[in-house]
Amino acid sequence: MNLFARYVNILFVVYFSYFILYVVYAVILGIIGFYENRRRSRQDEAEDYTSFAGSGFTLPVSFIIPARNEHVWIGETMQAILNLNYPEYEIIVVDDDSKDSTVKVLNDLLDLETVTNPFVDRFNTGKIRGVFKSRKFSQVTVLTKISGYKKAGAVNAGLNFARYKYVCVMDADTVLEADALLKVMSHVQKDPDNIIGIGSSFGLVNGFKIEKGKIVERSFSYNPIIAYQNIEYIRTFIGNRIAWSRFNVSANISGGFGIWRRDILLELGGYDTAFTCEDIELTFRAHDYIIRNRKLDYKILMLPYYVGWTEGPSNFRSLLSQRGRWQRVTNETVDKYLQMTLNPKYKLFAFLILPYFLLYEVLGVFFEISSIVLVLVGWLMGVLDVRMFVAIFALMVLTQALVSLIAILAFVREEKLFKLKDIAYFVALSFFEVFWYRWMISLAKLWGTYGFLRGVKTYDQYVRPQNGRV
Amino acid sequence: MDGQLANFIIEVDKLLLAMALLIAITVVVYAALREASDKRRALNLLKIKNNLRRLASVSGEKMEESIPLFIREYSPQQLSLVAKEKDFRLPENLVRQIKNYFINSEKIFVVENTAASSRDKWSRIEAIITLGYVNSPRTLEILKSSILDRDADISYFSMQALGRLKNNEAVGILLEFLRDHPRSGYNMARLLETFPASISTELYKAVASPYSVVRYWALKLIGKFKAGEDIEMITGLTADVKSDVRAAACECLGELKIRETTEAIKVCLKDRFWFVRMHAVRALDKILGAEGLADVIGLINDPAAKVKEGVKNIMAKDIEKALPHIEENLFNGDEATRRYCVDALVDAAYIPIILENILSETPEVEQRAMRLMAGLVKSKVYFGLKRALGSLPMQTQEKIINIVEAIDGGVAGNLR
Repeated sequence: MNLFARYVNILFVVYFSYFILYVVYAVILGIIGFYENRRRSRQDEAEDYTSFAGSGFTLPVSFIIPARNEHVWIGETMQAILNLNYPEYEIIVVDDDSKDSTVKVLNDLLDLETVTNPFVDRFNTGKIRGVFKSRKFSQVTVLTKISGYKKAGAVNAGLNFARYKYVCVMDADTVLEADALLKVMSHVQKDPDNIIGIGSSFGLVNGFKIEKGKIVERSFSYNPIIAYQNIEYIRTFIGNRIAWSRFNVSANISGGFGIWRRDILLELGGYDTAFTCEDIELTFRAHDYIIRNRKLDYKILMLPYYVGWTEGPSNFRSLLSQRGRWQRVTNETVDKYLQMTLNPKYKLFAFLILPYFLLYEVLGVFFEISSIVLVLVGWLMGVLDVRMFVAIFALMVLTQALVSLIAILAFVREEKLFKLKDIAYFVALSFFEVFWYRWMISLAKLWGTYGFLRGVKTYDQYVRPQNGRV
Repeated sequence: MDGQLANFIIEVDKLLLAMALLIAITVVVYAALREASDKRRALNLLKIKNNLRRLASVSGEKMEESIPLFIREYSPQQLSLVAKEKDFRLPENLVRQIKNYFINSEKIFVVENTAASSRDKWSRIEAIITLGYVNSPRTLEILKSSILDRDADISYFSMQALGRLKNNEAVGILLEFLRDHPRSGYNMARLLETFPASISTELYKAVASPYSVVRYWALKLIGKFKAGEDIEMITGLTADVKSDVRAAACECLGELKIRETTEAIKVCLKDRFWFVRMHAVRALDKILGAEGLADVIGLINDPAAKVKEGVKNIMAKDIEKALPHIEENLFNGDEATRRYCVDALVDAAYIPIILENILSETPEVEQRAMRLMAGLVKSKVYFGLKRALGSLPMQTQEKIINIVEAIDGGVAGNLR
C-alpha cells in the first residue's frame, strides 16, 4: 500500500506539474494576447478604410468557397460577400457534388450560364463537371465537380481558376461583415512581399437575424453549448492565436476564413486531401516549407477583428462530430510534423507550438481522462482524501476560469459586439466550464483520437437542423 | 506530505479565486462603463455633426464669428473622428475656414508637439493623423521626421497623413521614403493616386530614379493619371534592366494609348518574363485592338496562361483573321491553348456562324467550317454546341448532328 501510495503521489506530482505548466503557458499567452489585441485595436481605430475602399491600388482578392450540401447557408454567405465594401474581388464557388439544392440556390441568386473558361488543372482533385458564370455578377464563377477529395480537393479546384495574388478560402456557412476584407487586407498591404497568410477571428451566428447577407440583429444564443463555444473562440483567438501571431508562429489559419498568397499555395502544391481537414496542416506545411527553403522573411498573421460569423453545432451530437474531426486532424498534423519539435532550425515554431500541440492538444486528452481515473483510484484506495480531491478540482475550475476571463477581458476591452448581459453570462459560465462542458470536449477529443488511431479520414460534415438555421 | 500538499493547493486556490473574481468583476464593470461611454460618445459625435451642419447653414460674418467658438469647444481628435466619417461631408469653404482658425489657435501647438515627440505612442499617432487633416505650418517638417520613426505604426500613419496633404512636397517625401521602404509601394500608390494630376512632374522625375521600385510605382501612377508629358522616357523603360519596370512601362503605355509607342511594346512580346509579355499583349490590345493580332498571334502558344488570355481577347476582336491559327491549334495545340482558342470563338459568338457555314453551298466556306467543327469536337473542350443547336430548326439540327457523327459518334450521341 505504501508503495502504491508513493506511486500515486509521484504520478500526482507529474500531473500537477503538467497542469501548472499549461496554466503558466496559457496565462502568459493570454497576457501577450491582451496587449497584442490592444495594439491591433488601436491600428483599426486609426486606419482610414475609406481610402482602401476607393483605391485602384488595393490588392484584389479571389474568394474560394467550397460547398457541399450547404443550401441552408450558401445564399446568405454569397450575398454577404457580394455586399462587401471592397474595390476588387472575384468569387469562385466550388460545388462538391451536393445532393441538396445548393446549386439551385446559387442559380436562383446568380442566374448562371455555362461557359468555357479555360483552365489548367494543377492538382488533379476530381473532374470539374461544369464551369458557370453569373449573368448578374460578372465576378462570380461556379464550378461543379465530382466529390471524393474532401474540402481540400474543392479548394484546389477553385485555385485553378483564381486570378488574383491573394486567395481567401472560407466556409460556405460563414457570413462576412461588410468591412471584413478591408480590415484584413489593409494589414496585408503594409507588407505584401512577406505576409503569406493571414486570418482573423469569427464568431457564432446562431441566434442572429440575417437578411440578404446582412446581419440585422446580433442576438447571441443563450444555449450553453453555443455560449461555451463563443467563449472557446474568444479564448482561442484572443488568447492563443493572437499571441502566437505576435511571434509569427501562427499555428492555424482557419479554413472558415483565411487568406493566403496564391503563389505560395501553388508552391506548396495546394491543400492536402489526405488529411481530415485542410487548414491546420497547410499552416504547418507553410512554416515547414518556408523555413526549409529559406524563402523569405515571411509572416503568417492572426488578427483579432471579428470578420464574420459561422454556424456552430447546437447539440451534443453535432459538437462531438465536429470536435472529433478537429482532434483527428490535429493528431494527423502533429504526427506528420513531429520532426519539427524542438528542432532549432524551426526556431520559435519548434519551441512554442509543437511542444504545446504535442503535450496538450494531442496527449492532453489522455492526461485529462487518466487524471480523473488516478484521482478516483487514489480516493478509493484511501491515499487521496476528500480535501485533496476538492482542492484539485477547485484548482482545475479556477485555472480554466482564469484563462477564459483574461481572454474575455481582452476581448471586452476592444470589441463592442456583445451586450453587457451577454458578457455577464459568459463570465458566469466561465466558472462552470469544468463541471460539464470541458468533459464533453474531452470525450469528443477521445473519440477523435480513437478515429485517428483507426486511420479514419472522413470529413463528417455536422448535421444541420432540417428546418433551417438556428 | 499529502496534508501539506493539500494546504498548498488550497492556498493557490484562494489566490486564483481572488484573481478570478477580481477579473470577473472588472470585466462586468468595464463592459457596463464602456456601454455607457459608447452611448455618450455616439451622442457627442452626433452633437458635433449637428453643430457643424448648423455652422454650414450660416454664412459670411456670422460663420466667421461662430467658428472660433466651435474650435474652442471641441478637441482636434473629436474633429478628426468626424472628418473620417465617409458619409458626412461639409462645404469646402467651411472646412477651409475651420482649418485656418484651428491652425491659428493655441490648440495647434499642443497637437504639433504631441505629434513631434509624445512618448505615448497612440496619442502621438492621433496627433499625426490630425496634422494630416489640418496641414499646419510645421506639419511637413514633423511628418518628414516621423515617417522615418523606427516604430512601424508611427511611420505608417505618418505616411497616411502625408497622403492627405496632396502637395508636391509631400510627393517628394513619400517617394524618398519608398526608395528605402519598397514594401510600402501599394500604400504609397494608394495615397498618391488621390493627389491632383499636377504631381505628374514629380512622377516623371521619379521615373528617372536609380531605384527600380521608385521607377516602377511612378510608372503605375503615370498610367493612372494618364499623364503623357514625356512618352520617350516611358518608352525607354520598356528596355529597363528590371523586368517589373519593363512590365509597368508596357502597362503605362497601354493606358496612354499612343500609337507611336507600339514598336517599343512589341519588343517586349519576346521578353523572357511572362508578366512582361502579358502586359505587352494587353497594351497592344488597348492601343491597336484587332490590328495588333498579327503581332501577338504567335503567343497563343505561350506557356503562360495570362499571356494566352491576352492573345485570346485580341483574337476575339478579329476572329476571321485569327481562324487559320485557331484551326491549327485546335488540332495541334496543348490543352490550355486549345481551350483558349475555343474561348476566342465563343467570345466572338462564332459558334453559330460555324453551324451556319457548315451547311453552306459555297465549298470553301463549307470546308473551313467543317475543319473548324472537326477541330472543336476533337479538342474535347466544351463550346456550347448543344445550346447553339437548340436555336436551330430540327431539320438543321439533324443535318449538323450527322456531320458531327462522322467526326465523333460519342459526341453526336450525347447531342441526340
